Amino acid sequence: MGRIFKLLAACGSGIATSSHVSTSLKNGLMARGVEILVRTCSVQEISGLIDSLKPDAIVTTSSLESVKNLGDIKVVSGIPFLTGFQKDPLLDELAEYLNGL
Amino acid sequence: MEAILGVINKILALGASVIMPIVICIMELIFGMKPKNAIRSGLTVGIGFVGVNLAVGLIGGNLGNLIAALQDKYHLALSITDVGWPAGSSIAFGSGTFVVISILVFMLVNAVSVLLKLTNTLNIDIFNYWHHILIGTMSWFVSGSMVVGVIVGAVFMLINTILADKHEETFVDYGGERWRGLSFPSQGIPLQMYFVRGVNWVLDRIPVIRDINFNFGKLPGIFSFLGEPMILGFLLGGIFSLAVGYAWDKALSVAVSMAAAMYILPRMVSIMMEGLSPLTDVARDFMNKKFAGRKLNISIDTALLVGDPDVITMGVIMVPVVLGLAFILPGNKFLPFTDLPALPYWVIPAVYGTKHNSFRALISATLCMAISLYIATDLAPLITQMATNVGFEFAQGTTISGFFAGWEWPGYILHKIVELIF
Repeated sequence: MGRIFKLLAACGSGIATSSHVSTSLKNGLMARGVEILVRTCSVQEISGLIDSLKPDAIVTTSSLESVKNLGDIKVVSGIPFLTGFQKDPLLDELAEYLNGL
Repeated sequence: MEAILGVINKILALGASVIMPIVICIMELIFGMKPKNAIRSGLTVGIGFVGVNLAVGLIGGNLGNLIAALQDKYHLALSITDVGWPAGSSIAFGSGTFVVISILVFMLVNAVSVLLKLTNTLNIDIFNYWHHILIGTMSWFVSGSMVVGVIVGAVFMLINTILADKHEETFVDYGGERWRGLSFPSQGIPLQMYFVRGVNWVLDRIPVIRDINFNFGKLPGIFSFLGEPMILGFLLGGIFSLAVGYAWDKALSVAVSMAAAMYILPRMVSIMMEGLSPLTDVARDFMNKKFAGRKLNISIDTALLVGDPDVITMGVIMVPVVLGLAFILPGNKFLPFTDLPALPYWVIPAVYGTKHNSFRALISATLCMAISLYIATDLAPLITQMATNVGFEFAQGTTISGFFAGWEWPGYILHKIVELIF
């Protein structure tokens, strides 16, 4: 379809787990024919990035309780990418959601 | 033969940025990865190292000068540059062969301890092996023997894993069932949770104080803004510059450089992490397959817990507290800086151990920080030596350290034991 979706990969620090999740997301979604742009970030940076980047979805390994402007953006847990469990169902779900946007 | 040894020696002398790509690439090929992917991810790790070195240089240059000036002008004892935990992880991952052997031994020790039912946790969080590798590296340097280093690292990992198992209920209590089955064996959490419980026990016995229980709640947005790495770097860089008498224009320049260092350094570690990702995945899948069927916990990066608003709040509040401690504690030479935005990580035991009672968390965190400042001071020369060994370059006379060293108390105890023996 040619559209590149924008995702945020968030974790506590924006360094370790979010990078890992970002790589897994890119590879997993690409294998499902979905092209994405991923910006890794820390939980503290999310509010600002929601305004500036307007992401299509957020994948997080940390709690987003402190983020006030989430609105309707789809939020999924990135834990499956860390543990390996339920990784494929999650990628399927994301691919389906993004293609439906 | 001579020629080959010559080449190998030359490569070893090139430091982590060259060794790591080679080592990672080989490991990945062994695990069955496609050559193109192995080369790409291996090289990415090396690139991450180069990047971290650049960023650390930015810190060392500016912060190092500030610290020297602070010393001169105010006769402070603070002589140690804080390079932050991302740099700490790079130092840990930098020593080529030692790292590979350690990772393999850790995985083996973990597998055996799971089989022997010493622990229920599978340590698949390979990135966080760096904490254990770091302690192992310290022992290696002190004893001169890689074998000793690997053993100490493995023992440290085992202690952390077993202790971490015991805290599962505390975390599930707060976070709910979605955190069941997770374990946090790094960032000092395992032992410090007990320390904080001890503090709680003491506080319980003091009348009036024991009844104080409030929660700071969410701080106004301005505080989380001030706690952002780039802002904190800018402000502190500027304030310290003015404090040592730089002209306003020089202070501005240093402020921006420090903001840059705080923003860029994590990004570089991010790159390194990107490179390590495939290896982590493949090693983890391997472990998962071998233990399919048994209900096990898995180790997870503490980044999971840092989204907790109480943790973030406490982290921001601790910035002035820990800076104050650094200045007034006698004998402390460590000035926290680069890790200040990462304080939320370091207050996790305080917040969770006190069940989110902000008053007690504040007391516990302050005590923990004080102890860690001293340990960081004590370990600085060794850390500096280790960093130079993996190829980080510092100006003459700079000593570095970080909370990553000061926070791992069991590791420090093990290290001291090894020091005594050797």
